[in-house]
Amino acid sequence: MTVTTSFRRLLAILLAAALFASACTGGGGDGATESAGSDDTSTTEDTVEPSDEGGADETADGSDAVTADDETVEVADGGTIRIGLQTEAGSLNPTNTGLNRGPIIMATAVFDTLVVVDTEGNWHNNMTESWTPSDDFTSWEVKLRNDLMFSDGEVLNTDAVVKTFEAFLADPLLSLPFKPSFDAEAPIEKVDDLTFRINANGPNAYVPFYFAEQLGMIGSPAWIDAAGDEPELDQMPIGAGPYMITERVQDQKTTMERNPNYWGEPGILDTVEFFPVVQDATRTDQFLGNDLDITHGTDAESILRLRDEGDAIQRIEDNSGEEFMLLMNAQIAPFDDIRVREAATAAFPKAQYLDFISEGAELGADSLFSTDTPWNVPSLEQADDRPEVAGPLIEAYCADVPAQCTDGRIDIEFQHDGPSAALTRVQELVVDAWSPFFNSTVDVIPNDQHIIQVATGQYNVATWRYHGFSDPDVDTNFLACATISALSINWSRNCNEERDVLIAEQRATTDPAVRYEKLQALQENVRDSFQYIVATHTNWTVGASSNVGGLCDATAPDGAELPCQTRGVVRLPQLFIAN
Amino acid sequence: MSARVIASRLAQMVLVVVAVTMLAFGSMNFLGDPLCNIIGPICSEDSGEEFAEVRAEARAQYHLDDSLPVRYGRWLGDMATGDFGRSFENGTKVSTTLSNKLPITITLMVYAQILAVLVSIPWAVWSASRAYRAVDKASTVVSFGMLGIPVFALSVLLFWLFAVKWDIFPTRYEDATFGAQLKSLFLPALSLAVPLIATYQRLLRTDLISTLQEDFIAVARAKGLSNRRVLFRHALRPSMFSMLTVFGIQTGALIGGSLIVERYFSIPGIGAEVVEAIIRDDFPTVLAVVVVVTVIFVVVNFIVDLLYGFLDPRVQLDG
Amino acid sequence: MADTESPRTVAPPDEVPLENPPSIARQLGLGFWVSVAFLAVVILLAVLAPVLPLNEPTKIAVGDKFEGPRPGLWFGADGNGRDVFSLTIWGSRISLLVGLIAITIGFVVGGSLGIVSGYFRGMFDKVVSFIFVTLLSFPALILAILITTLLGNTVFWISASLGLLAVAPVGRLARAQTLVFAERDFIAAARILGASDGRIIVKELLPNVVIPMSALALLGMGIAIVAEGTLAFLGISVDDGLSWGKQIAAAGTTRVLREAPHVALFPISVLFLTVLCLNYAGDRIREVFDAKELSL
Repeated sequence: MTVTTSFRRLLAILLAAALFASACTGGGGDGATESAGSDDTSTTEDTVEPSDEGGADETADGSDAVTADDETVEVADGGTIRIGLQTEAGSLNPTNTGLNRGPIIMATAVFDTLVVVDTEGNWHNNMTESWTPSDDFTSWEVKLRNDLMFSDGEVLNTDAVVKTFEAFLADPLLSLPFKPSFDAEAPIEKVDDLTFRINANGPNAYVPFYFAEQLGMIGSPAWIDAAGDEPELDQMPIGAGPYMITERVQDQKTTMERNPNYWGEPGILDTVEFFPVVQDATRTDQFLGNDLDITHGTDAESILRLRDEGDAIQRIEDNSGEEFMLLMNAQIAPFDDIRVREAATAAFPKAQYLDFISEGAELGADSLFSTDTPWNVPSLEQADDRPEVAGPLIEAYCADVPAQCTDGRIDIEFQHDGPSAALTRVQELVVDAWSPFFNSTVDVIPNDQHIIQVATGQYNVATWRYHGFSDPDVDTNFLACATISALSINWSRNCNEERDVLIAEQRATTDPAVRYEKLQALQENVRDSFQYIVATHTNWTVGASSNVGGLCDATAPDGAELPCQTRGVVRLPQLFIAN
Repeated sequence: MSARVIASRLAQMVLVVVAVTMLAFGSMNFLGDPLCNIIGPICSEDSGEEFAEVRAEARAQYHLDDSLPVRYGRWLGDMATGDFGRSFENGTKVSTTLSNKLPITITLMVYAQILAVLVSIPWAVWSASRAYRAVDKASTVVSFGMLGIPVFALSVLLFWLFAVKWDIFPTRYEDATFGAQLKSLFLPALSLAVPLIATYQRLLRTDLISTLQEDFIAVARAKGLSNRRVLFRHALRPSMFSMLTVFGIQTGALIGGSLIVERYFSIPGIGAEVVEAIIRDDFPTVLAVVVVVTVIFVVVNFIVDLLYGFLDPRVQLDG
Repeated sequence: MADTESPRTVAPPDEVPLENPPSIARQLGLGFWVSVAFLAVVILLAVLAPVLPLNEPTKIAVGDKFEGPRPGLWFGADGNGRDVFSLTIWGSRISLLVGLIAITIGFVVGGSLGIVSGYFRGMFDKVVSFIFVTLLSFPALILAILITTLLGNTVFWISASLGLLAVAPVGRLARAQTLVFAERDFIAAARILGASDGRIIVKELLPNVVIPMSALALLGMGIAIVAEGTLAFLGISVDDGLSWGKQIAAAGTTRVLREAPHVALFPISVLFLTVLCLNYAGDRIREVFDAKELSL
């Protein structure tokens, strides 16, 4: 594949990171939501609905899950599990595609990750032996395990890591959010066959977190090369994870079997089948009708329906996910004026949003960090739901800049991706609440164009779904002044020098208390500069049939407990069918 | 039908297909900048030097500096060898997409036609044998209503009744077994078939009524043949010409309808794919589907013409 | 629908032309006038929507989420608590407007091409006929989506793309009608009297071709409204504003159908009845004028 073919796709999917997808007006869909953090894991505890049927005996908290060999459970070797995915991947090649939450389940099974994050939010070695920082935390020496092998029989060594990492960073778009964190000259250096060095761009105590998801997925060098010439191979990735793809028909079905060369405890299941079912309601129907064993999703209806099932199924909710928000472009009129951003925030109908859109399925948000994360500041409030404040601000602005106003209302364009039933409802709600102050023109464009318009700053207000990374350090890259450019990942193009200082300070400290203080100041700064209007923290809910065992039994090699699910992503090797 | 007429028909077919390809290729190149469709907004020269290389590479890779006729010729030549190009979206071969998805759509369309024929023929015979009685008038009203209901509205209605309310049919496409496939394709096929049923029923009923007034029917009846036998054995075959004529045209309607039902019922066929592809400016895919679909349409109509001439030797086709 | 009637149509016994045919109004029948009345109401409501005492269609939380029909909220409320009755009335405006513009474009372009090519025959006729065949062979819906996506999903371009689709069928009919009349004596007479071609087309041909085609206009308008709804249903219609297709698409999800089917059923019914009335009225006009044509 040549660079250009992939370029457009990359631009689309990678920057896509996390926002509503262009859900089709499908038979069941209330609008699929798409989401794709590129490198992040949840730090928080998951809540688990215990199941007393089938004996899987999940506990009420991911942090003390019962293990698979619980006496009431009979672990049957073999079997097949069918997993419904919210999105399908255009490519499963982690060096050229931002993987959404659906495909990343498949990619994690195929590649595994260098590092894993436990239920407490701490990182642990997975495919690595050790991570040793330099004294000032600017560089990290990493030792790989010596028993890593790809499914094609090739050895996974430093060369493979360097190849994958460089391919990732060489991509102008995929690397965009991550490049700022690494040394520009020599981000990675080979030390010996199993040792390499990662060089951060300044002191950074949180580098290993970057390798807990996509960036920590290592592909076979031979396959990466071959896929460069033949894009079809992007669909049949070769990794060193517990499972490998044996058959894949895009948009229909992907089948995996155990990787005989896997270094760790081999998977219990013989086969895992993945079905992309982008209509949320249909996927939930399938799951409740026993046509799927596991489903995941973020839409209110599915979550409420799964809750209604009570103990008949296993249900795990993770509220630490990305935020749904409105971006206001601070670089062009009218939102370049802070009064307009404040007015829009004040007129944002949060209560109605939670009523009509969230319906109790997700938490209202005031900042980037969910109440489920350690970085949340309970006292911090976003100044929304106060339309009385908006009037005078608009009046003052229109007096100063009459060109932007018509009949005392500011002319804006409200952009969202679509067609999507869910986003249309959001747009209707917000545009109606804003109608006394803003004269909104609606622009619905396909998902990839939406992302491009936002990244290139060609919008006024846009719907967006982002953040919720496992470690706040990754989030901060999206708030820095340095990431505003032609293609910007500071989506709102809102630069603040005080904030930049706070970002560097939280990154350098290893003292949690100091870091909390810096992040609190950072959140206040983000709020007061009206960077975003945040609406909700996404609730990623996983549903599993009562006979699916081992959901919460995943562990790191050192025995640390891993979350039952991380923003909709479940791990596969420990799953089994209970009799 | 003489060989000369068939040959001239074939020639016209080829001409039409070529004209359609020109129209499709032309519209995609005139109405939008292909470079922008390939690489997005950085196609503009003033979007920064850092993307100049990407632009140059894309121009070279897709031969955008060649003139339109040259590009068109190359594309046509590639296609003649079965190379439909690669998707702008993810670089996969369009021929792979076609071979995965076209069979599903064809199954759906054949399914709809079979349903339509199975329902419309007995219905038309039934109403023709009761022509102008109250029941026939009522059935005419019903078929008139069936003609007026848009496919998309019908899809919603059927989905609501049979999949949501009564939960008889699945809400999702399945093809683990042929039985499951037929079951999950039933509602979409029925949505497509309803206007077809009405069309066929109306035409066949009218023709049957006039056939039943002809002498040979009176003769058959005089011989004491049963009413059923007269209707199905003697009257039906000579009454099917009008229905056959529109069979080809209706294939066109089915193609359009498949876009709607495949998208609504989430069927991974070529119809849903082309809508998606157009929305995403994935032109190699769109072009391939347009060509394939047009060829199907033209060929079906050609076969219908042949059959028509074959069934009724009085019909002379002029080129 | 013009092709659904076979040339071998036989008039039912009770409709055999009488010695003294009743007035055209009588001939059209009660059903026709009921249809016209319904259409008149729909059009009137659409035109008067801004001055009618309706809830603002975009107003959130007028009713509860998915509230059922009740006095004052005749069609119930949708997922955002908006008034479905008001949405349906406002939605008719774009649907009807697109239908009207599209069919006008189709008739002006297709009609003139058809008449001119049918009148002059020759090379021009061959080329035009080939264009018609090509347009008819191009998958219609794909063409409409393509044009709309490439040129912009505004009312104008949607109407234009649907109008383009109407060109070939309208043109073919106009050409066929012209061929019939061009052979007639009164055209030959006009020609002998030295009337110019332009004069003959406008004064003699046009009136005779237009009347039978008015039936097609009504049928075509129904088709255009359905086509606009289809585009909207596929997610390719005007971003701003309301239309029946958008309304039905939004209500066609499992969620809404499960909890509040009325949100879908009301607009579907109104759309269906409108198209049905257009079809019926068009059909009646054609039948009556065909009968007249036969009795000439």
